[in-house]
Formats: sequence, structure tokens, C-alpha cells
Amino acid sequence: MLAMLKKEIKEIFRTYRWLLLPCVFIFLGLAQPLSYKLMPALLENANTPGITISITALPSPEQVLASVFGQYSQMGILMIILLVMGTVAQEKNSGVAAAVLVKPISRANYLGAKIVAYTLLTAVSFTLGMVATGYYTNILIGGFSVGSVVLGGLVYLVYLLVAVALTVLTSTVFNSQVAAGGSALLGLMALTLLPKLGVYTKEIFPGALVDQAIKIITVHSGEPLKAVLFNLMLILIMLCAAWYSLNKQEL
Amino acid sequence: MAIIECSNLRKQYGKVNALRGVNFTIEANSCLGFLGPNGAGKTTAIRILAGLARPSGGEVRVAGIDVVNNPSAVRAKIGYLAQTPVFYNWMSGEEYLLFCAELFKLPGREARTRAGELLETTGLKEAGKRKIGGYSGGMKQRLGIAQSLINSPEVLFLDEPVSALDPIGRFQVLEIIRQLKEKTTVFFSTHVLNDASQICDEVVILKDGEVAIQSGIAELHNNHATPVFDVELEQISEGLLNSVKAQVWYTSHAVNGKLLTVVVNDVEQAKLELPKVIINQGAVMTKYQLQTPTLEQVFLKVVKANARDVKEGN
Repeated sequence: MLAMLKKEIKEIFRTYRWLLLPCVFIFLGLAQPLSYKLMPALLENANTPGITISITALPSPEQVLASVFGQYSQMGILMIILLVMGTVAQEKNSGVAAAVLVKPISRANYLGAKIVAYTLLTAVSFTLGMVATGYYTNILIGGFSVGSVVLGGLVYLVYLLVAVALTVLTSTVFNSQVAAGGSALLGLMALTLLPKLGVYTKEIFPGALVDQAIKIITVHSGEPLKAVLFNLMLILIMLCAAWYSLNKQEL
Repeated sequence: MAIIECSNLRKQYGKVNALRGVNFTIEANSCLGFLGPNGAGKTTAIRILAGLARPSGGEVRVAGIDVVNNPSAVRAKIGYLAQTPVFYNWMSGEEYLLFCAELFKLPGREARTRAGELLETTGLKEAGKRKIGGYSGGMKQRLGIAQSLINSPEVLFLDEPVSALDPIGRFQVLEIIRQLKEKTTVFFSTHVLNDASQICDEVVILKDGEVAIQSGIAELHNNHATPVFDVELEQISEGLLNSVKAQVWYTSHAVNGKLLTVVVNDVEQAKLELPKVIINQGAVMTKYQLQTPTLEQVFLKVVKANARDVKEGN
């Protein structure tokens, strides 16, 4: 039962994914409080003639923390897609998926192990990134409510997990890593952008998680429950779709 | 007891008929050579037998279990090695074997013993701790055999296990298979009949998605490796050919320069009469030889059923 999960986790370690993703999240996170802190000094030193930019006040620690999500939603998501897109596609392509699945292990177990492993990797990387960001925000900008950040962070984590599940799905459907990565990116963009057209969908589709997370951290209020439940269901549907697709495939 | 039964096995890929009704039965603890030219459908058939592909029609039973309806029960009893063995290259050979053992739920200690034994028999004891990524083709092939044996399978499916190897690697792998067939049924495909005839008890020759021949090796010799007459003449005239064709024992002939090859249905009779016919036509023989074809030639004859017609047209 755990053989496949052990293999996935070992692979994440041996291929240095465990180092790569946390580093990306930590650096992206650190860059926010640092740049906000240094911005006035940088602008003063630039001393461009003819242009005067005056910064009246530093953003609040909460705003700095919330601004990290903007970074994670771009570079962070991209990195996740890059790391996950080959997980099934590449194994199908090389033939190692057939070598493994000809042995007595179910396809659900095979996919489940991948989901669990990459969910863990994403959760740990994101947590480390947030801890580093929180630590430096506290030092450089000021104190904040840890509870709100944890809650907001949990809501935002669901958004990242949607990306993981979607990439596992596209990786299962397609035989090419590039097609898997590309369609995961397009799919996520569609899931984030299209709902902006309607009022109701705006409250539940993945983009709503980001909005709610920011709200929770900056103004300590928000109604994330609907969006969280909907997106957890979306993740489940995507995983079932991946399982269905893999079951139909001849390896 | 029949351990593999295929009846009317069919597989279609779009409009291509890869298998068009394959029937054969294999007894337990035998070694079967699954032969055929490239594209005959060998890999497709093996993949169906191993439960990796679904047939378009027909029935397949391995170790008495229906492969289509109950693939997971079959998986526990078989070993499978694909044409090009692939692994997780970041693992060591030993790690990969232990991973496979875990998939079969072997207890830890048993798994380690089994992995050690298999590394030993496949000559990978030294290399076991090294990353698979650095293995040579021959080593990968041997590791492939080792991983297919981790569960002591009842039936072992090997898809072209020696085709990509150099003569030494080929010899090593055939030797391993020879030892295996005492304990397990080995089903291996190849397009080289010589490999099969060295270690197999039986062969199935597949051609265009159909079984052309299923036969024991000895019977294959007796029934299909019939002798032919090779006669070299100073000149081959139309009259000579006509009078050879007129004989009751005549089956077919081929002309290649000054060499006349005559296939007959009654060797004893032809031995007596063929020289007479030639001499009566006033032809001058420079060489006369009765030749028994090799199994390789039999194989070629079977897979090129129309080759004889082509020759007759000459």
C-alpha cells in the first residue's frame, strides 16, 4: 500500500525537488518585506531629475504578507506545474508506468501516492515560505496577527492544491510533459479568470480563495467556507477524472 | 494443465488489425518461443496476456484466470519484461528490486533475501548498489529479468529479451532463461529462431496477426525442415525445367543463376529419379547436393508464404 508513496517521496528527495520548491517559496516571500523596506532608500538614491516620488507611509505588515500571494500565484504556481507535470506523463512515456502497473498495484494507489507526495511537498514549501516571510516582516515592518495569517494561509494553500490536482490530471491525460504543463497552466488561468465574468462563480472559483485569503489577513474578516468547500470538491473531481482516464488507458 | 489459453484473440487499433483471431494453448512448465517477423503482433499479444492492453475480442486465460475480467489476480502470478526495460534511473538496482518486492507485498526480510538472490543469478551483485542510470544495455536487460522474477511467477512473459544484446549478453540471458524454465513457464518472443530453438520446447510462429504454426521444436524439424535438392548446371534450359515439373514428386523449384533448387514431396523417390531426368535432358551437372534447411530457413519459408510463388515466377 505504501510502496508507491515511499517511492514518490524518495524521488522528490533524490531529484532535489524538496530543495527547489521550498527555496522558490522562501525567496519569493522574503523579497516582499525586503523590497517594501528598502524601497524608500532605493528611490532616494536613484535621485532621478525631473521625477519626484514620495512615499508617505510604509504598507502595513498585513499588506506586505498579503502581497506575497500575488508572487506565489505566478512564480510559485509555475514552479509547481513544472515539477508536477511529468509525474505521470513522463512515466507513461518512458514505459516505467507499464512496468509498475503490471504488478499488483491499483491505478488508484499509483495516482494517490503522487497526489499525497506532491501535496505534502507543496504544503511544506508554502509553510516554510510563509514562516520566512512572517519572520522578516515582523523584523523589518512590524507585528501582525499570527492567527489571521495562519487562517489566510490555509485558505490560500487550497488554491495551490488545485494547481497540484489539475497538473496531476493533465499529466495523466496527456503523454507529453509539455502538453500536460501547458494545459494545466491554461486550465488554471481559465479557472481563475473566467469566473470574473459572473457574480456567483466569482465567490467560489479558485480565484475567490486568493481574494478571501487576502481579506482574512488584511482586514481580519472574510467568508472563505463556500470557496474552500467548492475547491476541495473540485480537487476531488479532478482526481476522480485522472483515475478514470488512467483506467481507460492502455500502457 | 494448460497455463496459457488464447482463443480467437483479436485486437484492432483503429482500422489496423493487429491480431486477427489468435489461438494457442501452452502447457505448464514449458518454454515457449513466440516467433514472428517485426509487426506480426507479438508485442500486442504479450501485452494483452500480461493485462496491459485490452483485447477487442476473444478470450485469454493465464494460470486459469481470465485476464480481461480479473487482471489484478493475474498480475500477482506473472512476471513481465517489456521490449526495452525501463526503471527509475535514480534508484540503484537493489532499491528497484526491493520496490518491486514491496509492490508484491513480500515481507521485508524475504524481500531482501530474494533481491540478493536475483542480483546474484543475474550477475548484478557488484552493480546492485549503483544507480541504474549508469547501467549498460545488457545490465538493464538482466535487471529487467531480475525484477520480473521477484514474485517467483508462475508464468514469465519476456518481450524480445535478447534482441538488443551483443552475442555475450545474448548468451548470458539465454542461460538465465534456460535455468528458469525448470521452475516456471517461460513465454518469450523473438524474431531470431535460433535463440528459440536453443532453449524452447515449443514455438508459436505468428504472421500478420495469426498463428501460422504451433509446433514442438523436434516436429518443426521433421515436418517443415524437408530436404531440397541443389543442382548446379552449366546451362538451365526450358525443356529441363518442364520435364522436372512433370514429375509426380515435384513441388516447386527456384532458379538462381546456374543453381536450380528443387523442392519435392517424396525425397526417396526424387533421389533416384532427379539425376536421370537431368541427364536425359542432356544437361551437364557441375554440383549435386541434397540439403536440409536450417530452422532459420523454415521460419523464413513460413513467414513469407508467398515467397515460393515469387520464385516460381522466375
